[in-house]
Amino acid sequence: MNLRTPYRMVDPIPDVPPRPEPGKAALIVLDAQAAFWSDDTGLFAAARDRGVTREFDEYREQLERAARNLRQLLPVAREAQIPVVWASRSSLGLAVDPGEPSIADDAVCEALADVVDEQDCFVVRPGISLFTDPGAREALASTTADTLILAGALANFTVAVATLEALSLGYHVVIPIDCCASESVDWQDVFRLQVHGGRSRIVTTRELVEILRGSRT
Amino acid sequence: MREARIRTVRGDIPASTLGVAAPHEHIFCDQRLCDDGAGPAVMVLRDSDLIVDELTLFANAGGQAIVDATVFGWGRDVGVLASISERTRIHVIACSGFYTEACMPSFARREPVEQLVEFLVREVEVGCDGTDIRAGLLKSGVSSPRLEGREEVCARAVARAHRLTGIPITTHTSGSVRFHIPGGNAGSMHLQLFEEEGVDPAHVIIGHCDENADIRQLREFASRGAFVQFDVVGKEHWLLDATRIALVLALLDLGHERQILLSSDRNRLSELHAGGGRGYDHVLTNFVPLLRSRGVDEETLKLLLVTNPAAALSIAA
Repeated sequence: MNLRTPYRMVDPIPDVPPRPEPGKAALIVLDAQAAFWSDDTGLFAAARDRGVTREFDEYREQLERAARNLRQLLPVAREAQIPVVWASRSSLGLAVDPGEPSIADDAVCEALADVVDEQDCFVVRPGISLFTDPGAREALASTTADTLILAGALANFTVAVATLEALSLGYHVVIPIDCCASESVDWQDVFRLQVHGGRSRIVTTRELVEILRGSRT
Repeated sequence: MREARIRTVRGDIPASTLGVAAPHEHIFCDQRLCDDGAGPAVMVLRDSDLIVDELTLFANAGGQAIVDATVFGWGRDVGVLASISERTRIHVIACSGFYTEACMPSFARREPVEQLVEFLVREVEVGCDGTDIRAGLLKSGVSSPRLEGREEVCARAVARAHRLTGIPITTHTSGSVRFHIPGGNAGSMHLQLFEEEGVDPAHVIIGHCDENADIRQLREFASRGAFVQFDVVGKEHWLLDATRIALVLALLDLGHERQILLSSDRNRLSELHAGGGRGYDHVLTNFVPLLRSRGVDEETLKLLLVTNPAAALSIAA
């Protein structure tokens, strides 16, 4: 996907690129719950009901890749004294509808269940926004982070919105792009362009692991 | 004084015979060999018959020479390049050096700089890919906001190989970091490192100057003596060609006419005529007429298309 980015060309660049440091960073995994990741519920169940399961193939592939990379990244983050926050959502849709039943299961999906640690933080928010929810804001404040590592799904909505909100609140943001899954490959490209620049930095899981382990000079 | 020479895949030629040149393209490459882990590999060109057809269009538009900026590690095959050169009668210059970390061969990620220098010197003095076909350009790539880690080691190897052989240097900044580097291009970092290593900037081509251009930085490159290469001409998601024209005119007004290079960095089927793209001839067919329409005379155009590439690609004495 080729999109021009004139605004980003003149967006001020920080002197030092965002780099997560112990005690100053937190890793937020957005919407890693069954409703968005698992075959038998939530999004995929809705797609099956509608007869459009095939439409989610590219999303599913990205989820599998994101799960593999998060399984590698999370233990490394904890070793680097970077707390992990699992931010789930109580609503399946883009809009919060007071009359809509909440997602029944907000636990971390099966693909990531065994990389959850009891020391991790868990928040549930009503909509996409991470920072308008008091519980999520309190959890983030408790981490004393000035740099957020953001990952999860549906990245072109949740991680994109979280990144722009975080930047506007003064955070630096690091996005391990292959720990994110968007609704299609094209939307992942759009998401990548949308969050790229200034105080946000896109890296791969491999790069981030090296940075956190101190092996990347 | 002996005339300057340029190293092509069919042997060294006098620089004066290079002709109209595209100093940064890809004609045989395979990004699938890279492991950047972040998305599908799209820079794949493996059909030499198709490339011959596309380069024939380039030749018909006046093109006489082309640099394939693909290095060892993502699909370079100098034997194929020589065959393409033979079939099209276009001079082809092959590239040695190192691309970005994700695309480095495994030895480049672990060997000390001395070993890397040996490898590069062998590629430009003895031959590449198990042949006696030699590379005529050394490439250094940066894909991070800082010139660090293995990319820094490889950049130093490139600098030292240049000092030993005189083969000129070309640089790459990954578009993915263009918003994290002041000015948008790692050229400033490259020039600083190269000068530390004793390289004369007159033998350095700063590549991808027109992805996230800043005239202040381009002026700096030119003032330091390096070549300023607009090599993604036609890729208007980076920059409109109209903006490129304005930047070229600005550099001409500043007196840097002998340091500007033009190319289009074709690297995938969708950019070629067969794939619905603008082809290797886009600079000659579409961009040069725009320059003419903005008052650039034939003498200056000859500098940009012939004289400057010949100087940039010449082996340093």
